[in-house]
This record gives sequence, structure tokens and C-alpha cells, in this order.
Amino acid sequence: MTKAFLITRPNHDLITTYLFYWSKFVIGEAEKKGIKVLDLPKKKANKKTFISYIKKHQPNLVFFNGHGDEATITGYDNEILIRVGKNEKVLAEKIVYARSCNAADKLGPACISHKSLAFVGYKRKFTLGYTPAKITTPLKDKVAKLFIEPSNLVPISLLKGNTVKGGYRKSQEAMLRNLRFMLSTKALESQRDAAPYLWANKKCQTLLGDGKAQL
Amino acid sequence: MKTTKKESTQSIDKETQEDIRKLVMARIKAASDDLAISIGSKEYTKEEMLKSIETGSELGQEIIEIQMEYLKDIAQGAIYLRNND
Repeated sequence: MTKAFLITRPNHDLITTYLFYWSKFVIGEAEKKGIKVLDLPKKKANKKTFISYIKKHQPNLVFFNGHGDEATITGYDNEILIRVGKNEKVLAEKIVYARSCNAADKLGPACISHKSLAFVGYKRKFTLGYTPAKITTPLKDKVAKLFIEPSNLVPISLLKGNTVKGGYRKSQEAMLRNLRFMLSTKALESQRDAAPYLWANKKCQTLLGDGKAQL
Repeated sequence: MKTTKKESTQSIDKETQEDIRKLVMARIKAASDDLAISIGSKEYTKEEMLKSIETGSELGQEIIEIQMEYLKDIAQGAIYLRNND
């Protein structure tokens, strides 16, 4: 059976727009590996389409980009896609990566209780440093790159055939490498000053469930 | 008036908190103008971060926590350990 990967990419504000563009690298990796991509960009990242795609295609990996809190993950215009106690069971038998705030706190454990294979997310708010002069060209933002590339490594590693734990470790190690770079003389002043916020992301990135799970 | 031990501790804590607030404000004032930070769903410039710390808002508290956790971990060499997870 063909493996499938579902990604939500709303772009209704600055941060979701950054994640929207940078997620293209993850999609590119899936295409390279012949994995079916179920892309829900922009307004398509709504609850109706999301639930319909999940039920119809049963993706092995679900990658959320969006806002949220301990109990929810949202899509375009902050429409709630998943809420604890409501519909987390649609993520059963799937590996979930939530690049959104606080989801690993309550939603992650709830997904694991409802038989998600594994859940990687952030226990606190996801932070992103960026360069105000680059907001119209997010892919050229040398500060944002240091935050988003390591976070992309969780799904990229999974798509390459690594385990969830392997993907998590690669992401953690990449954040550490970037932090060391940020403290070096090679870094721009803005990159150095963003270090505390990347450190916060590293500390709150969390893996729940079966670390040995893979696509 | 005689100060009790409890009052004295509270006073030290307040002083320490004020020192921490000043330290974080100084760090943010000295930071590059080419940097903005998004925490959760909102974006903040340097000026907005400074104002939030000054007013003691929830965001200000978050920034203080992030900065202080980083400084403590840096002091302990955590960034130079291979794995911290």
C-alpha cells in the first residue's frame, strides 16, 4: 500500500506564512521518496477538508502547521481542526507532528491514549525569530532559517525512513548545532540575539508514544 | 520597626526579581533592531518586548523566563553537551 503524508499549511498571518513556505522542503522530500502528499495549503487547511482527507486516505504521517494551545490545533483563520475530547481519535494509528504551540501538553497525551502511534510537538509556545526586513521573502530570512530547518527535520527524517525517535534526535541535534553557530563569531548580531528563543524551542520539543514507530 | 525573617526573605526575593527584570531589559535593549520574535501567534518588536516587561504583562513574564532559563543553562554549559534531551 502506498504511504501517504498529510500536511496542513495555512497562511493567514505572518508566522503561518513563514511555515507555509518553509514546509515546501518537507513536501519535496516526500515527493522524492514517492510518498503520496496530501497537501492542505492556505484555505484548504479547514476542518471539513482535513477530516475528509484523513478518513479517505488514512495517511501514515500527519504534519500540522498552525496555531493552537494545550487542547487544540488550528488551521486557516484559526479554525479548530483537532480538539481534545472531540476528535483526536481521527489520528489513531498515525504518527503526528504538531508544529504549533503547547499541543504536546494535553493534546499529545490524548492522541496517544486514542492510539496514535507517536506524537512530536511542543509543550510550550513555539517561538520563531525572524528578520522584519525579510517578511516578504521568508526563505531568505537567515534568522528564521535557524529555527525552521531543525523543526523540519522531524518529518523529513521520518520520510527518509527513520524512526520517530531518530527524527526527534536529529531535530534536537540540529537545534544544538544552530545554537552553537549563533554563539560563534560567524553569526549575525540578530542570529546571536535570537539564541534564547531557539533554546526554548529545543527544551519544550517533546516526543510521546512509540519512538520506534516509522512510516 | 523590627523586620521578621519572612518579611526579609520576601524583600530579598523582590529585589532579586527586580534585578532579573533589569537584566533582561538590558539584554533586549542591547539586541539587534533586525530581530523580531514571534511567541505563539503574535509577533513582537524589541520595543513591544521591552514594554511588556515594564508593564509586567504575561508576555513580559514569558520573555523573562525564556531569557533566564537560557542564561542559567549557558552558565552550566548545557549548550556544549552533546545531548540534553
